[in-house]
Parts: sequence; structure tokens; C-alpha cells
Amino acid sequence: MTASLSAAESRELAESVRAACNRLAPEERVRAVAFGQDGAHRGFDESLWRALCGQVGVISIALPDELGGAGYGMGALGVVAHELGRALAPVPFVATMLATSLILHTNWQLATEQLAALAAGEITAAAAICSDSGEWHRDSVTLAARQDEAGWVVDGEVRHVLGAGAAEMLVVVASNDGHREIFLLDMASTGVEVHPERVLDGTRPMATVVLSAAPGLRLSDGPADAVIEQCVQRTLALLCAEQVGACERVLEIATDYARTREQFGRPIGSFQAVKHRCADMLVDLEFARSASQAALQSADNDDGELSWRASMAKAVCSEALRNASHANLQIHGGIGYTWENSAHLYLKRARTDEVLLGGTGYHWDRLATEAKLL
Amino acid sequence: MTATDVEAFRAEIREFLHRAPKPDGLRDYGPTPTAADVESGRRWHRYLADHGYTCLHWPREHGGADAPVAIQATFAEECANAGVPRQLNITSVDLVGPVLIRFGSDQQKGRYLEPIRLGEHVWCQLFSEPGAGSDLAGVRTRAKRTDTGWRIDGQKVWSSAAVSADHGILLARTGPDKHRGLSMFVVPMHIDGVTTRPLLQIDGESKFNEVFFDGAQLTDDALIGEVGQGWEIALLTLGRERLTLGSQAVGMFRLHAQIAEAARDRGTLDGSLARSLTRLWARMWLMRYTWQRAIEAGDLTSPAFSVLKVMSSETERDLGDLATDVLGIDACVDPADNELVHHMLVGRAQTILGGTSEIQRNILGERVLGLPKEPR
Repeated sequence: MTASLSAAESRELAESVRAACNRLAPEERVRAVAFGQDGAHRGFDESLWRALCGQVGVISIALPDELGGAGYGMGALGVVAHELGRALAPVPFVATMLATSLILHTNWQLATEQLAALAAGEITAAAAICSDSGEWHRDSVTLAARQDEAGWVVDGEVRHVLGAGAAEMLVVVASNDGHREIFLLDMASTGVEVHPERVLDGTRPMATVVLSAAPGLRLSDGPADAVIEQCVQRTLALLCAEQVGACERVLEIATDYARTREQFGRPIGSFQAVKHRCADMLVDLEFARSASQAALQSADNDDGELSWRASMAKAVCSEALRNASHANLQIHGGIGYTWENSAHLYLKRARTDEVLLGGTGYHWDRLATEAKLL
Repeated sequence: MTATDVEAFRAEIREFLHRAPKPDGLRDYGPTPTAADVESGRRWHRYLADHGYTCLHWPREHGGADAPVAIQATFAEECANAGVPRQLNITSVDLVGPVLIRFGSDQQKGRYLEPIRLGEHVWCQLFSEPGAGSDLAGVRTRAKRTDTGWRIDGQKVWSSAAVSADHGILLARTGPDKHRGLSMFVVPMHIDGVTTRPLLQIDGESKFNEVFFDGAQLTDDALIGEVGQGWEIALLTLGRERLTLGSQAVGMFRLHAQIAEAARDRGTLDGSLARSLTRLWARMWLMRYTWQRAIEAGDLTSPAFSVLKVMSSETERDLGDLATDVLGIDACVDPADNELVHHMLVGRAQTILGGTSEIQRNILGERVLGLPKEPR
């Protein structure tokens, strides 16, 4: 069990994250960061990230005491994720949390300086765990580690690495003599090439990472499948919390429009066809909120149910956000199909998040297996 | 009320239900007994009452326990787990009791509450009419002043347990105004001018009834509250079911296991059916979790509480449909011979009773999301 926030503390944390996003990353800013620039830093709002890390402490809040953190658990990180999702905040929270999690669950003592810099928002980290960054599967690891005279080096290529373009650090999973281990790489070292990709959702920047004898610090002490598995599940729980936040915001946008847009002499939200679509979004949102909360809760309580709850959450939250983003665009009609309207921002986020770390089909099947349903 | 208190209560009630002697023929008949269930249900109710486990939500001065929502919910769930009803019938305890406590005269409280608490009287609800379903305020059954009280003429429908009931709670028209022209009455079901006729359902059972009023005479003290207060009283009774909706997950999980087993036995468990079973399981689990989350938050007007009716009824409907999907050609057999076929039929009722899914979505849209009302 980790320390948990009281309801009042959770509200306060949510308010401070929301205030920072409202102040530093209103929609025009999100668009400018996501679409207005090219190169490695596209999709990364550095000033927002520094404020979130430095002033609110979105990373340090869950770090252990010995690293100067507040020792709060996934519940607190979930509150942060929810707010970041609402705002489509272009910051590498999910990527950094996956990388941080992999470090914290191995020999973090080897990386205390890096963790301190991460927590302060001075640097960011990305994680490349398997081919194409899709679902985690130990047989799809494309990186290989070996020892040369100077130490460990890693070779191979991974596509769609979230947040890798702007990251200073990279945590990778590489196979070593038939099993998987975890390494920490400096993006600036020799043998590391990063190619930013053209992506659907500019707020989720990705890059292809090519490693050729790139020097790495070995964090694990042998086969690390169980640790990787656990870190992926924890990251899924946070990704889901972002999806729920986005879903909540999409519903607000849709209902605001349905309340004010008039056709046939009355607000379109008075028509059942529109009203019921909004009601469906609300039902889906509450299902998703429960699924996300249940996963975060298991991560904190260590009750042995995180594995299936994380998959259930990913499937449920992905479908809820997809449906909501579609419904919102439809309710807006023609204007919803224009670049100037925000509907496509949430649609693109929905379609990207649903395939990160495994799509819905994969997670439905995984739920059935892990919860021994059938 | 902490989580530990609730768990302690859960353990206590589980033990109690386990040890309790069950009357012959007792089964978990749901909210309302059929005529055949009344006798065993009554004896069971009395046993619960003698041990302080009925009318948990009523105030202590009327024999209740002033129990918080979490306790009421836990009690409902443990009864479902034990396969027993949690009272003789839901209308008396959950609907009539709170109405009389809030709006009834001292005389009405003195006369009706204790027999309800002890399970001596069955009550039925006389609200819906052939012309007033989703638009409940459109009731046309008339209550007309007479020298000695009221004369009732009209017709009610969907009255569960009316055929076994001692009393009914009647919503009737006393004036022209759509809402303020409604008043609420107590009706003895065995007086002249009241005729009850069971309706045969699509599943061959007969749980609800039509009730005809042909000049039925009520005494002056039959009026609950004041003339014109009927709609306000009716609204109080709606929505209470949400407090115990999550307990339906118990039965859903059982049915789900039964469906999965049937699929395995028949070799019909292919990828598509497996996916459907998985998705439904998640919805059941999340419905129950949402219920628990709403109860812990304690806000009865929260969105989490509001969505529960749609969540549970549509999940139950879809579960009923899946029940026949696994049967293959045997989905064509008589529902009396196959429980799964019977579930498919009963599933149709879930999204109609207690407010249709369409009305529920209007409520979610208008009351929770603040969308404008449709023109009426």
C-alpha cells in the first residue's frame, strides 16, 4: 500500500494541474505545439512541462521519499493524467512515467541523478520496449544487448517510440542471451539515431529509434519480464486515466454545442437523436471512469488484479473515447469536419491512444485470459 | 460509515442469512412475489423483521434502522448472494413506507406502517395507465369528491402483485392541471368496484395486472398528503431502486457462468462468442463497481448513480440475448423447458420497466447534462 490522497487533496491537485494547463496550454497553444513546428521538439510543450514538474510536481508526487518524492501512489498520478487528458496537454507524461517506472522497479540507485533531473522537468525520458511500441510481448522485442570491452551495448530499431524525439534519456528492453533485460541509454551518445515521425496526433509525438552499438547502463539483474509486465500495466492505467479525462472533456464540448446550436428554431440538444447520443457518451464515460479507477486502485493496493484490470480499462476506455470523439464530431455537423474546430484533435488523440500499448481486441482477449473468464 | 464497518456488516449479515431457517418453497423471486410466493415470502419477511433486518432505510421511530446507503446496498447484495428475497415485496417497503412517513397523516402511519414492517400486508402501485406510461402525468383515472370521501373511476395497468395485494397506492386525477391536478390515495384492494385481472406476459408468467375502478368508494382518510400533491409524492418514489441496482450483478454473474458453461458443453465457444462474453463480463463488473463508487461518494444525484439504470438494464438485456446465442438450434425450444431461452424473453422487459431506456436517456440528457427539454 502506498500513501493515498484525501478527496480534498485530490481535488486540489486536479485544480492545480488544470490551472497550469488552462494558463499555459489553451487550445491555440496546443495547436501551435502540435502542428506549428517540425523537428524533434514537435508536440512537446517544454514550458508547460517545466511548470507541471517544477511547480505542481507531477512526477515527484509519486517518487519514493528517498528520492525526494512525496510517496503518493498511482491514485495521485491518475488525477494528473486525467487533467492532462482533458487538455490534450502536449507533454511526455505517459512516456516519462513508463521510463521512470522501469527505472524505479530495477536498480534505480544507478540513476538517482537522472531521476532527479526527470522529476524537475529538466530532461524527459522515453521507453522503447518492443517492436513498433504496440502491445508488449516478450517475443516481439527487436533490440539486442551484448557486452563488448567497454560494457553493454544495444543494437536494433524500434518504431513509434512515444516522446523519443525530445527525450534526453531512453529506457529500452533488449534481449540478452535469450531473456529480456532493461537498459538506460543517453540519447546523446554515439550509436543512437532518432528520426521523428509524421503522426496522426501531433500531441503524441513519436520517433523511430535506431541503435548501433549504443552504450547502455544495465538496470536489471537478469530476466526482467515480470518487471516489464508490471510497468506496462501501470502505464496502461495512467494512459486510461488520460483517456477518461479526454472523454469527459469531449462530452462537455458536445453538450455545450448541443445546448447552443439552433436548427428548426430550437437547440439541437432538445432533439432526442442528439440528446440520446450525449446520454450514451455519459454512460460510456462512467463505465470508463470506473474501469480506470479500478486499475489505478489495484496498482496501489497490489491486490494481484492489476493485470486483468489494466487490460479491461484499456479496452473500455479506448472504446469510450473513440465513440465520444466520433459522436462529438457528428453532433457538430459540417463545422466538426473543419480544421478550426477542436473535434479532430480529440478524434486523433482517441485513435492514437487506442493503439498504444495494445489495441482493444488484444486487451479484450487478454482480459479473458488474465481474469480466467472462459 | 467506513469501509471496515460495511465489511463487518457484510460478514454479520452473511452469517445470519446462512443460518436463518428458510420457509418451504422460498426462492429469490425478485422485487415482487407471484401469488404462489406470497406465503413463503411473508414468513421469511417476518423472520427478517424479528431480527431487525427489514425496512433498513426507515427512521428508527417507525421501526427502521436509519441505515446508510452502503448498508442497504450490502444487505441487498448479500440477500442476492444467498438466493433469498430481501422483503416480502418492494412496493410496500421501498415505495409506500417512505411516502407515508413523509406525507402520511399520523393515523395513516399508525395504521399501515407496522403491518408493512412485519410483512403482514402486500401493497401494489397503481400509477401507470393504458394512456399514461412514459408520460405518467397523463393519468386519467378520476377521483371525485363525494359526501363521505372519494369515488374512483378508471383503469390502471402494470401493477405488480395487485392480485395478491391488500392495499394499493393510487395516483388519480382530482383536477385539470396536468401535474397539480393529481392526488395520491390509499386503496383497499378488496372493496366493491375494484377488479384485478392478471396479464399474461410473453414468457408465460403473470407478474403484473390490470386494475379496473368502477365507482369504487374511498373514505375521506384515503387521501395521502393534500389534494394536488400527487405528482410531488410520485416523484419521491422514483429512483430509489438505484440504491440496490448493483445487487443485480450477483444474478448476472451467475447467468454469465451458466452461459459460458453451455457454450463449452455445446462447442459453440468460438472467438466471436468469447469476445461477446468478455465484453459483457466487463460491463457487469463495471456496473457493480460504478454502483459501489457512487455509494462511497454518497451523492445520490451524481452522474454515477444516474447512469446505473441504463447500465444495468441494458447489460441484463444483452446477457439474455447472449444466452440464446450459445444455444444454436436449441434456441427454438419452449422457454419453460430452457432457462436460457426464458432469460432472452425476460431481457426484453428490463429496458421498459421502471422507465424505458428512452426516458432514462432523456433524464440523463436533461437533468445530468443540462440539455434543453423536448417541446411538450
